[in-house]
Amino acid sequence: MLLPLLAFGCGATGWEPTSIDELRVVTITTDPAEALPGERVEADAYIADPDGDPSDIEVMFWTCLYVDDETCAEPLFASELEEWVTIGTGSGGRFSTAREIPSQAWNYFPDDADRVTVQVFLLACEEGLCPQFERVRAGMDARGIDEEIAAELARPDLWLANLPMEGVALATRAYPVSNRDPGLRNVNPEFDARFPEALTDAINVRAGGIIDLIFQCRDPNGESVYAFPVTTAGQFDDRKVKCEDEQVRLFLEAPAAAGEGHVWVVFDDRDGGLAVYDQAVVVR
Amino acid sequence: MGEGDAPADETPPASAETPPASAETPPPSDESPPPSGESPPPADAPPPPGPDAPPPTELDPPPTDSPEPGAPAALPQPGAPAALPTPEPGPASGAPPPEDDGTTLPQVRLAPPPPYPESAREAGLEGSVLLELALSELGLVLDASVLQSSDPVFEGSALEAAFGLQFTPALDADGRAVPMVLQYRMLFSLDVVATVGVEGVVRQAGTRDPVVGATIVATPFVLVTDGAPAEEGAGEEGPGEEGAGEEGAGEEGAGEEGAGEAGAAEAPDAEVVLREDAAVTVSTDADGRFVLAGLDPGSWQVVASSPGFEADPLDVEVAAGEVVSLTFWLAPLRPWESTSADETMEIIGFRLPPEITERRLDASQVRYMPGTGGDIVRAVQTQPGVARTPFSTGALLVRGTPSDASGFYLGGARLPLVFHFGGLSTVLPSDLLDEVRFLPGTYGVRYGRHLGGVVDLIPRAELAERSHGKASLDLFQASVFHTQKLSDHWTLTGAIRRSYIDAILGPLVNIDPSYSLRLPAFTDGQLRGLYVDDRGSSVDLMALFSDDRFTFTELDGDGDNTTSKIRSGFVKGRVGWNHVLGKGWESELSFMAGPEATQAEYQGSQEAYEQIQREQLRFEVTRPVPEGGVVGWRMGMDFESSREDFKYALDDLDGFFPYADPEEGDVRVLRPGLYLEQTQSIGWLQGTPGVRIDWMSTDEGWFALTVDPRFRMRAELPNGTVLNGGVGRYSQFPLLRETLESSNGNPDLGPESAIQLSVGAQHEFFPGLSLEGTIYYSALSQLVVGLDNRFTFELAPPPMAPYDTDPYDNEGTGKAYGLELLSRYEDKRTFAFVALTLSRATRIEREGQEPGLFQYDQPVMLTLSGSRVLPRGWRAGGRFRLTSGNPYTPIVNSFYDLDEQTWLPVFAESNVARMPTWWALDVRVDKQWTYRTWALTLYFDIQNITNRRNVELLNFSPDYSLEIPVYGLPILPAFGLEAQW
Repeated sequence: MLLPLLAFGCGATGWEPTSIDELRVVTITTDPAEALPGERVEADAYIADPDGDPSDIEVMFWTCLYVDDETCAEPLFASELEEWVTIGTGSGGRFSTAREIPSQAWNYFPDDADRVTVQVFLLACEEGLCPQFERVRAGMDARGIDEEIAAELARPDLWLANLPMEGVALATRAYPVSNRDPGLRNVNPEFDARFPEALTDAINVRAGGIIDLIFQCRDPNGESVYAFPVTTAGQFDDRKVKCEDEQVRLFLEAPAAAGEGHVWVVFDDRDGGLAVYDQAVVVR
Repeated sequence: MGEGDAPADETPPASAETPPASAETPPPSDESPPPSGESPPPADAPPPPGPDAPPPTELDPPPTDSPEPGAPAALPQPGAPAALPTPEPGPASGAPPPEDDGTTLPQVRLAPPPPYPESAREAGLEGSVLLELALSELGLVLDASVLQSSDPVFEGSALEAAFGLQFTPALDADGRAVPMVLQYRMLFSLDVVATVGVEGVVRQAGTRDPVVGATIVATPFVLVTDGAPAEEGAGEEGPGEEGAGEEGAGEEGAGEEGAGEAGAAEAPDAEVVLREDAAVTVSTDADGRFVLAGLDPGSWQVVASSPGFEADPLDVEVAAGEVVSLTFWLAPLRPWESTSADETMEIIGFRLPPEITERRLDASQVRYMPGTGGDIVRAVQTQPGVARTPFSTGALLVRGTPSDASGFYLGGARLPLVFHFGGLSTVLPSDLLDEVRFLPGTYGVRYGRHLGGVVDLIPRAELAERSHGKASLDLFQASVFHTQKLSDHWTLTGAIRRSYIDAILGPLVNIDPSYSLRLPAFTDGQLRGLYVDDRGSSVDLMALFSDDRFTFTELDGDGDNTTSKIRSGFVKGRVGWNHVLGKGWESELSFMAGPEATQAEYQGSQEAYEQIQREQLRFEVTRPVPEGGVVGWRMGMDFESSREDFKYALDDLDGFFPYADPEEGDVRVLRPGLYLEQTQSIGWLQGTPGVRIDWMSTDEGWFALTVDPRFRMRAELPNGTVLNGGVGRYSQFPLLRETLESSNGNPDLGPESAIQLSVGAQHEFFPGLSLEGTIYYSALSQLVVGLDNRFTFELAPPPMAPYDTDPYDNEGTGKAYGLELLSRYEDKRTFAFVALTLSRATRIEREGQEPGLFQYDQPVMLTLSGSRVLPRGWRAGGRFRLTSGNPYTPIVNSFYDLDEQTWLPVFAESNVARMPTWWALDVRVDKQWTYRTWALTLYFDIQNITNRRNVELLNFSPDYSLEIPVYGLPILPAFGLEAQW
C-alpha cells in the first residue's frame, strides 16, 4: 500500500540539518508581507556561504506571475519585469532590493480574488558558474527583458539541471499581492532577542559548548510563529520550534574547533510572513 | 476391531472385500497331463461335485512336500464357501505340444477366488465352470471363454476371476517361454474351506488415502545358516531388513498382526534367501485393498509399492487356517504426487491448453519453492513475462504493463485484492484451489477489460475423497483448513488465517522511540459447501472475507505524533453452478457479490477511502471440439455492477508527498460484457476466432463501448511439438475517478487499448524435460496519463518522480516486446525450472515527447529454481533470481522552497538511469515426519542467504544532493510447522 511504501522511499528522506555547509539562500523576507499592486516592496535575501566570501556571490532576483501555467508573466510584465530583475553581487551574506509591484498586475487576477501570489526567485551563484547572469544582462535593454529570457526564467528547473549543485543556490517563495483591507493583510512576525549575547556584535561560544538563544516572538495577526534556526557554526538541537507563550528557546551546539560562523533564525508565520535574526558567531 | 484386523469368524461369500477362498488342485486328466505328473480333466469332464461332494482340496490335495514355486498350497478357512479353480491344460488351437514333447506346462501362481454368486449361495447351489484361457509368454491371461458350466449363474464370476489368474510361463523343449491355451476348471463349493493367506489395504501415510493400483509382491524366504536352510516352512524367519517399514510408516510402524515377527527372531548368522521365483504379485483395488490367496505356510516377505511412494516391506508368517491382515502406510516420494487437498495441481505445459500461453501452477511443487512461503499465487511472480516489483509486494507487472492492467479472478469473478499487505500471502488458501491459471497475454475472449495479464484462481471442483485438513504455523501467520466429507455428494470446507507479525515483530522494530510501527495484521477466512452430482454437475457455495490493518506513528519535529492508518478488506459471497447440458455442452454460472473497502487515514483529519459494493455475474456455455469433431464453441456474458464511493483527501502529508487536489465521488457503474468464440479444428490445426464486447457506463453519464476481435491458432506437429500464435485487441476502461469531472477527471477519456501478438512453441524432449518459448509484441495506445501525484491505493511503490501533474488524457502510447523461455525438468525426486525473459517496454507519456523506458522495464529476468527429495523425509531446494534494475530518473539539482522549508528536485531526462542489477539466492529445507494418519513438516526458508544488498528504491538527502539507496530484504531466515491429516 502506498503509505507504508512512502515510508520506504521515493523522495527526500530525513529532516534537513540545521547546519549549513555550502552556499545556500537562507530566506527572503519582504516588507510589507503582502502588498498592493503599485506598492513598493523591500526584499532582503540572506545568503550563507560557509566556504567562501559572500561578496564573490552573484545574486539575481526575479518574479513571475504564472498565468495558465505558462511563462514568467510573459508578455504581461514585459515592460515591468525589468523592475523585478535585479542582478548584483551580494555583500555580507545579505542582499537587498526594493521594487514596485506592477500596477497593472491586478488586471490579470481573477475578479473574485482578493489575494494572489507571485513567485519570487533568487539565484545565488559563485561568480562565473551561472551563465544566466550574462544572458539576462545581455537580454535587458531599454524595452525590458526579452521574451525568450523571460520564458527561460519562468522554468528554472529546465536549466538548473545544467548547473552544478555546488556553488549554486536557487530559492523561491510565493509573495502575496493583496487587495484586502489593510487590517486584514498579513504582516511579518516580530521578535526580540532575549539572551545576553544578543547585545554584542557576535555570539561568543566555547568550542564544543552549548548556548541558549531565547527570543520573544509574536505575530501581529495572531498566527502561530515557528522558528527555523540554521547556522554555519555547529548545529541546533531542533530544526523547527514553535513559539509558545510568545517565547522560543533554541540550543546552539558549537563545533569542536574554534572559528567563526553565522546564525540565522527565521521566524515564519507559515502564511508568507517572515522575519530573520541574523548574527555572527565566534567560537573560542 | 481395529483397522486391518482379520474378520476371523465371518463367513461372507467370496468377494473382493472379504477373505476369499481359493485353491488350485490340478486334477488328473486323460488328455493332457497336469504338471508334476498330474492330468487335468478333459473338456467333457463330469459335472462338478455337488454339495455333498468333498472339497477338491480333500479330493486332490496339493503335494505335501515343498510345493513347486508358483504353486502355493491353499490355506483353509472353515466355513467359508469357496470357488475352487482347477487348471486343465488341454489341446487347443495354437496350443504348444503336451508335456511329453518336452514342454513344461504352466502352473498356477495366483488364483484370486471369484466372487460367489449371491443367488447361488442363497440357493445352496454349487457347480463348476470350464474355461479356456489364452496365456501370454509371461503366463498372464490374455483371453478367457466359457467352454462348459454346470449353471450359467457361475459363468460371470468365473470369467471375472479368470483375468486375475497368474501362471508360471509355459516353456518349450528349449526352455523358452511360449504362449499357451489351456482349459481351466473353476469349482464353486459351499463346503470347501477358504484359503486366504494374507489380506490387507494400502494407504498413503499422512493422508490415509487408499493407494489404488499399488503392487503387492509376496516372496517366500528361508534363512540359511552355513549353506543349509536354518528352518523351512512354518516358523521360517524373515529377512528382517533393517529399517524396513520405517520410511513408509513412520515411528508408529506398521503394527500389523504377525507382521515383522519373523525378522525379529532372525538368527545372527542366518542369511536370508528370498525365493523370488516363487513370488506372487497382486494389485490393490479401488479401495486400496488386496488379497493374497493360496500362500504356503511359512515366512513371506510382502512388499507394497506404487509409483511415487517409498516401497514398504513387511515380513509375515503364514500359517494354515489363519489370515494375516496387513495395512501398509506408503510415504510419498514426492509430495506433489500425493492426493492431499493441496497437492493435486499440476503445471501442465504440454496438455492441450485452451490459451496460447497458459501456465498452470502446481501448488504441491511451488509450495516448496524457496521464497514463496508455499503460496501458489506468489509463484506466479516467478513466471516468464512477470517483472519483479520492489520489495516483492503482491503487484503483478506483466509484459510491460503496470499493476492495475492485470486482474485477479476467483473462478471468473474479479477479486478486489489477492495479497495481504506486503505480499506475504494470498487471501485464499491454496488448499481451496484446483489450479491457478496465469495468462500473460493474447488470451481468449473469456477475459477482458485488461491490457495486462490474468490470474484466475480456480476453486477445487471435485469432491474430496475423504475428510482432511491442515494446520500451519510460521513466523508470520497461523492457519487452519479442514474439509469435511458430508456425503458422497457434499463436502464442507472451512479455513481461517491470522497473522501475528504485529505481535511478534512489533517490539523488535519499535526500538527507535521516535516512531511506532504497528506491523501489518491480517485475517482471512472461507467457508465453502460443494455439491457434485453423479453427472459432474456441481453447485459451489462460498463465503470469504479478508481484513488487513496497518498503523504507523512517528514523532515529528513538534513532538506531536503523526499517525497513518490503512485498512482494507472485503466480504464476498459466491455461488457457482456448473451444469452438464449433454451433447458435449456445459454451462457455467457464477455470481459473486459483497462489499469491498480500502481506507487510509492520516493524522485523523486527512483520509482516503474506496467503498465499493460490487455484484458480478458470469454465464458461459461451452462445447469443446468433440473427439473427431470440427467445431467447438464458447459464448458467455460477463456482467458487473457496482456502487463506488470514494474520497481521496490526503492532499499533503505535511509536505511528505504533495498530492493532487482532493477527489470525491459516489457513482453507480455498469460493466456488461458479451463474448463469443468458435474453434475450428482441421486435422492437427485449430483456429479460434472470437470477439468480446464490453461497455461501461456510469450514472454520471460516462459511456464507452469496446469491441475486441481476437484470433488464436494452434498446431500440434507429428513430433509432438506444439506451435501456437494469436493476435487480438484488448481494451481497458479508465478508472472511475479518471472519468468524473467532479473529481478532477476528464469525461472525454476513452478506453485504453492494446494490440497483442504472440507466437510460441512447446516441445518435450524426453519425459520430464520440456521447453516452451514465446515471442510477444504489444502496441499500447490511448493510455491514460496525468495526475501522477494523485493519491492511489497501490500494491507497488508509487511512481518515482518526476510526475506528470497535468489533467488526465488519452495521450499515452507504448510498446512492449520480448522473448519468454520456460524449461522444466521433473523426475521422481526432482523438480526444477528455468524461466528467462528478455524484454523491453517503452512509453511516450504525452504527444510530442520522446520515448522513454517504462517504469518497470527489466530487460533480463531470470529465475532458476529447483527442489529435490532426499531420503528420510528430507527435501532441499534453492531459487536464484536475477533481474535488471528498474529505470529511474536521476535528480541533477534542486532548489529551495522557502514557503514549505523544503527542497524541490530538478530531474534529468526521464528514466535515463537504471538501478543496479538485482539478484538473490533463497534456500529451503524441509523435513517431514509421516505418521499413519497425519504428517508433520518442519521447514527453514532462508531468503537472500548471501545477504545481498539489493537496491530497491532511491531516497535522497533533504537537498537531493545525495542518493540514498533503499535496500531490499536482508538475509531473512524463517521457519514453520505444518501438520496435515
